[in-house]
Amino acid sequence: MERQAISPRLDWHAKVEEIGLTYHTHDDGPYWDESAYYQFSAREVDELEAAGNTLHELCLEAAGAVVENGLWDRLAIPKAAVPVIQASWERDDFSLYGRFDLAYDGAGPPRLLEYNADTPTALLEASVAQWFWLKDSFAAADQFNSIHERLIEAWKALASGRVHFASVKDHPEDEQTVLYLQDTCHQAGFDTRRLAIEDIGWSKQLGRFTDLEDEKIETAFKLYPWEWMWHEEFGEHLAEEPARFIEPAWKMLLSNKGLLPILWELFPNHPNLLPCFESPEPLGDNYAQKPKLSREGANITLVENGAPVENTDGEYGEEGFVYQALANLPDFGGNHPVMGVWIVNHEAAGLGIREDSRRITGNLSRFVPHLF
Amino acid sequence: MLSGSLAGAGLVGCGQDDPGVTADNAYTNNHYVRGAGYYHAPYHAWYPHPYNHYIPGQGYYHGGSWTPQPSTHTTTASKPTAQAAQLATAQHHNATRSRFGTSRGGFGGSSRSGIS
Repeated sequence: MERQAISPRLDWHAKVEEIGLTYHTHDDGPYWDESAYYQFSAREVDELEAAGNTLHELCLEAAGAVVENGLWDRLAIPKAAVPVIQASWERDDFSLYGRFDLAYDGAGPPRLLEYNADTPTALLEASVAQWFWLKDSFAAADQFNSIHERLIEAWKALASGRVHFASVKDHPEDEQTVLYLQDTCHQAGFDTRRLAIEDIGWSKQLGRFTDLEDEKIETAFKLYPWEWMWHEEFGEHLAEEPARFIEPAWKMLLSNKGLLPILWELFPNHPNLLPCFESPEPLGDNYAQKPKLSREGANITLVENGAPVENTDGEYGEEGFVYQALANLPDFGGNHPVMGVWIVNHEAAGLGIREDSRRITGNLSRFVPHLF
Repeated sequence: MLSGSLAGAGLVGCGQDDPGVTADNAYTNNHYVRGAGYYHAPYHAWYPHPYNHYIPGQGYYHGGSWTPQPSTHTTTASKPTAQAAQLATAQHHNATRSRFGTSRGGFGGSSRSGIS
């Protein structure tokens, strides 16, 4: 595993905008960064792929243990959500995708930092943008990336005629991500409709969620976290299960960092896991404190020798924290990459890398392409 | 920039949901009418997607068609045809008469700066 510097394509702005990556730059610099790339060996790619598949299986087993043993409080699951999650789990409701964030240096095994199983983003970058970068820059090389094809294939397993796609208004990254997913669904042969999450209606008369044309929403992809939905005005209607959502309700178990200590209890010393507990004591003076529910790397504190050495702000943490052993993130000239292994329809399908000068990956961390 | 023919006419901007559309008013690109969609000034009518809306693999949407390149038409505001105004008004009434006691805005209140 190596990090190589390279000259960006001269027209890279236009190239990535053309495929929908309009959010390539933020106020502090580039988000899409093709001034470097990561080079892997085939063995390393195999190792990442295997880790993704293994970890997904472990997470499903751990989620099953939560359901079977009623460990809802350990994940701070709202009481009203429990029967909906149980039913969704029993039906094995359709799950499209997720993204593992792994610490990996090419030497030791990949280790799980967290599973973005409900609302992962950086998808268009991983699936399309870096693929076109590869074809332009290293046409003979390969990439761990069959995300696009797998997404289209995955949709075909869905038993529904029409799929609505919803994201929050005025958020280009979310809007473009959902547009991309809508396109993959359309390519799979479905009738697709778009609306903002804020525009979803509730019809008292029908007892159904509706779109702006007052048509029933049967199946909806929502780039909007379940835990937010449960706490909002329409959350009370979710218990009536008036629509099927993608990702499904059972994904609340996998996207919750409260699952990490349960994983460690069920599979102690597994090579793809980091020790994780519900209190810091077993880890001594060195650990990462993470909220059970948080996004974009918010409200994380890294503690070394008993003192905080790095932390991020945010609005999360009211549901409690977990304490994870510090990961050994590689350091390439001050850049710390995190491996995002994509799971599509329960199988590892590709890799996207975010890097940062900090050890906590946040919403400004750069996306850097890769090859092998 | 507005053309001279629109001088003196009322101008309705995008981002509004105005049911009272008429052929006497001028509308800017992407003026939204629920049920009718988004106004495309060069085409003098409302369409289901925003002007130059882009979907990977499909292209850019304008005037009811998808093309590989975005429309570069310079008209950013215009008056709709009488037929288009009538149709948009009817579509709006159909969409908003709350046949089913629909309420909206019950999701989205927790939205923060990013998802994951």
